Order: sequence, then C-alpha cells, then structure tokens
Amino acid sequence: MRFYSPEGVSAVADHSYGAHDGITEGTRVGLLANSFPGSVDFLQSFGAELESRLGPRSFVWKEKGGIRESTLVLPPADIAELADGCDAVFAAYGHCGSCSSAIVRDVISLAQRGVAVCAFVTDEFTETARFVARSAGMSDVPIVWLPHPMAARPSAERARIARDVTGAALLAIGGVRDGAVV
Amino acid sequence: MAPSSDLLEAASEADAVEMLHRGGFTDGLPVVVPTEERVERMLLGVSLDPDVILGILGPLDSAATVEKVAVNAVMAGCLPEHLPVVVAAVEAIASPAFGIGAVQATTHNCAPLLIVNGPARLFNGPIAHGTGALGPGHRANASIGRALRLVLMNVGGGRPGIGDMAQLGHPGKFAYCFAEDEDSDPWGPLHARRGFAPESSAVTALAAEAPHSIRVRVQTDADADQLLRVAGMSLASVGSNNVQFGKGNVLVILNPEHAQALAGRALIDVQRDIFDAAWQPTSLLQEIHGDTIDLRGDRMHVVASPEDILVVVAGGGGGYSAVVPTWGGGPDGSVAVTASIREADVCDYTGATA
Repeated sequence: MRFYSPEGVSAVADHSYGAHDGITEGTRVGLLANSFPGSVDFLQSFGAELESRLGPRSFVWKEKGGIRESTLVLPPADIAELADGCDAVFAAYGHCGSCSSAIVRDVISLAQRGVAVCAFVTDEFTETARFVARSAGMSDVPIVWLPHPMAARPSAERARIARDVTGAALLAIGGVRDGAVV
Repeated sequence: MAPSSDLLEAASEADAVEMLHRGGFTDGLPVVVPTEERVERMLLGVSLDPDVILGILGPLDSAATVEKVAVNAVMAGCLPEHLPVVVAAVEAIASPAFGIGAVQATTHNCAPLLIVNGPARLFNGPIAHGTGALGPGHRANASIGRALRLVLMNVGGGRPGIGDMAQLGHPGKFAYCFAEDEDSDPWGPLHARRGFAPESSAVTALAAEAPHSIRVRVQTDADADQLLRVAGMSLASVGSNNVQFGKGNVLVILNPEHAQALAGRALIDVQRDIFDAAWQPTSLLQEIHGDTIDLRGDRMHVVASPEDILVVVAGGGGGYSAVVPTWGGGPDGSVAVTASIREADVCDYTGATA
C-alpha cells in the first residue's frame, strides 16, 4: 500500500558558516549574555581569559536583561547593533530548551551578517541546538558545549570552565572545527 | 490540486503503522495510515488548495501546508469535518505572538490547549464541552487535539528530546481540546469577547499546563467570593512560571454551577477578584528562587492585569472547576491567540469515514 509522509521539511536553505579570521589584536569582540543565571558571570571570566591570552581589549557587551528574555531571540535592532560594532561575538549560554534555541538563532543571525560567532550551550541540549541550527539554516554554526548544569555551580567553578573552553571557542569561531564537549 | 507529499510504501496496513512508529511519526499510539484515498477525502473538509501554507512551525521552521495538516489529521483519526478546526488551530499557533518554536523547545511542560467556540462545536464535531470534556471518550476532542500534536511533531519538529525538550510533559500533549459551554457562560462566548462575531466559529490556543482542580462548595454569595479567591491563589502556586514572569494569559475554567453563581457579576469584577488573590510576595519568591527570576515590586501577580485572566465555562455540574497555568515565556508571556474556523464550501465527504 502507498501512503503519504507526514513529515515537514525546513523552509530555510542551509548555508555553511565557512571560514572566518581568528581573533587578532584588532578584532572587535562582542560578548552576548542571554541573562540566564550565571551567564554574565561566565562571560566575564571568559573575557578575562581572552585578554590574558590575546592582550587587553574593550568588549562590546550585550545582555538580554532577564531569565524570561533568555528564551527570546534578540530583536533585529540589537542584532544590527552587534553586527555593526563587532567582528566576532561569543554568546552564552544555552541552558534550557527555549534559551538554547534562541541563542543558536541569535548567533546565526549575526553570522549571516558576516560576524564570526560562537555559542556556548550546555551538553544537555546538544540535540536541540544542532536541530535548531539545521532548521535556522546554518548546520555548522560554531557551538561549544559546556557541562550541564552551569547555573547552579559556584562562580569559581564557572570561571574555571570558562578558562577551559576558551581554546575550543577560539578555534571554533574561526571555523577551524566544532567545539569539544568539556 | 492533488497532494504532492512524498509517498511511502509498505506491504500491508500493519507494516505501514510500524513504519510510521519506527520513523518517529507517531505519538506512541497506533495511527490511521494516511493513504492517498484517505488524504484526498480528508481534504474535502476544507475549501483550500493542498499547497496553501497555513504558517511556519518551529523549531523546524517547516511550512504547515493544508496537505501536511490533512495527512496528520488522517493519522490522528479525524473526520473531514474536523479538519477546519485543525486548520484554524494551526493558524493560531503559527501566529508570531504564540511563539510556537519556543513553546515546543522549552523544558517547561506546556502544550497548546484549544478552546472551540461557535457553531463549529456542533457542525465540526460535536466537540464536547460537558462532563469530562478534557477526558477520554469524545472523538472530536481527542482527534482534533491529537492531530495538532502530530502536526507539531512531524511538521514543527517537536520530537521529544530533540525539538521538544519538555522535561516531563503532561497528558495534554497527546490531545488538549474542548469546546466552551456557551449557553452557561454569563458573559458570552470567549471568541466574541475577543472580537469575533458571536455567530462565527473560532478556536483559541494557549500554551498551557495541565488543568489544576479547585473544589469550592458554592451556595451563597460569600461562597462565590471564596471561589474566586481560591482560583487566584491556585494560579499563584510558588513554583509556577506565571508568578515568576507575570505576563501573558492564564485560564480559569468554571463549571456551569460555579458560573451560574457568578452570573450577576460583571466579567471584569470576576477577573479582578481572581487577580487580587493571584500573587505571591516578592520576598517569598526571592527567598525560594534567589536571583534566578526577575522580581518587580512587593508582589508578583501571575499576569499583568485582571483582563489577562481568561474565564470560560465547561465541564459537568458539581463542585469542581479548574485553573490552568501557562508557560509564561515569550515576549509578552504566553499569549492566547484566536483564529477563525472556515467552513468548507461544499460537503462532498458526507458519509465518508477517515
């Protein structure tokens, strides 16, 4: 017997992230915190580690403003502002279903405007993040996995994890390879 | 226009059902195989071309065409006359305000709850509004609700653990649909209160938790006051998203007896009395949740204003009504969205079975 497939197909064409310049002295770096608990803390530690490795710099900061806002994609005006002011953006972190989905869509919106990007997502949400990346049209957008949960950890432990993943994030943002699970 | 979906092949009906199970296309229960004949008959339920796109459904960001919706409606056991309600439900949840991509992806346990108003309750069902309306035994309620779930899984990509990260879920994720008992509603049908013509049909969708029972014996006007107080306090459970986010809509489902006890009051007064009891002190929420939520003022109400509390009438007579907390995420919280139900121009499917 013959029957119809009930399955839908993503209406969005897939485009490769491609290769991007790595972070150099002149790179304008943005840090996008989705305001999930601990995300600002994590990115501050990550920024400090970047400076220790690459030298002092001014970061462009953007925070979504609250845990509820973490579930929302950035408004187009904020995407445009980040894209205009940054060559590279690190975004943290996907820590639940809807906020992982939102942060992956955020970095894809930035990458589509030519910005080098890397999203941090906890390893509880690897399948969701990859699924959303495919759906949103950039299967290979750089994502570095963090150990779940991040929010409940002491600040010092988040700082250690931030230091540990910095190398993977620097490689990933250049399109060298996908980040590794820490 | 003929359907254009990919055709699959199996040796038998039983093999086809197993193939659909293995492919992850079912809700775990047996489905009706969507053969060419069944899908074509289902499409007679609406006067729309199969390739009309009803909306884009996340997180897959896939186009929900009339045809794909019809295929999934067949699988759910719908009759052709149920399809207009399913189509309208898809249009409602595809509205940007509903935020279906995030509703599907969230770790919260919400599911789109459908409330049907207007003549469609009879002509596209019957869709039950009385005893056990959200329980088993009502074909249209179960099939329409299930069809939407299959659309969410197969078209929207809401498969458990991938596109749907609900940590536990609830049984309403199988099917969650009822009609309003309009004759018992002192304030008129929900869709009319939301700007639709009373004689039209519409479906209202809301990203909702399971209903929470509230029992209050109402014999006096003072009892009716207590009913509203209990409804508000029950909505403001300290663990709910609503009391932490304070935006969007929540729902109160009054049984006909409770609605009758409130019939002399204006709806806004009913909503205000519920609202006035639906809060927690910020200090308590701070103590419990620490800095993980965004607290404002001395009290956190479950919604921003009394009008955001939806009140409908359904269920059998007795002492039990229900409150329905919601997801609460999204730009404006969980916002209810209402869409018109469009009838087919002709009824060529009369007597057909799915």
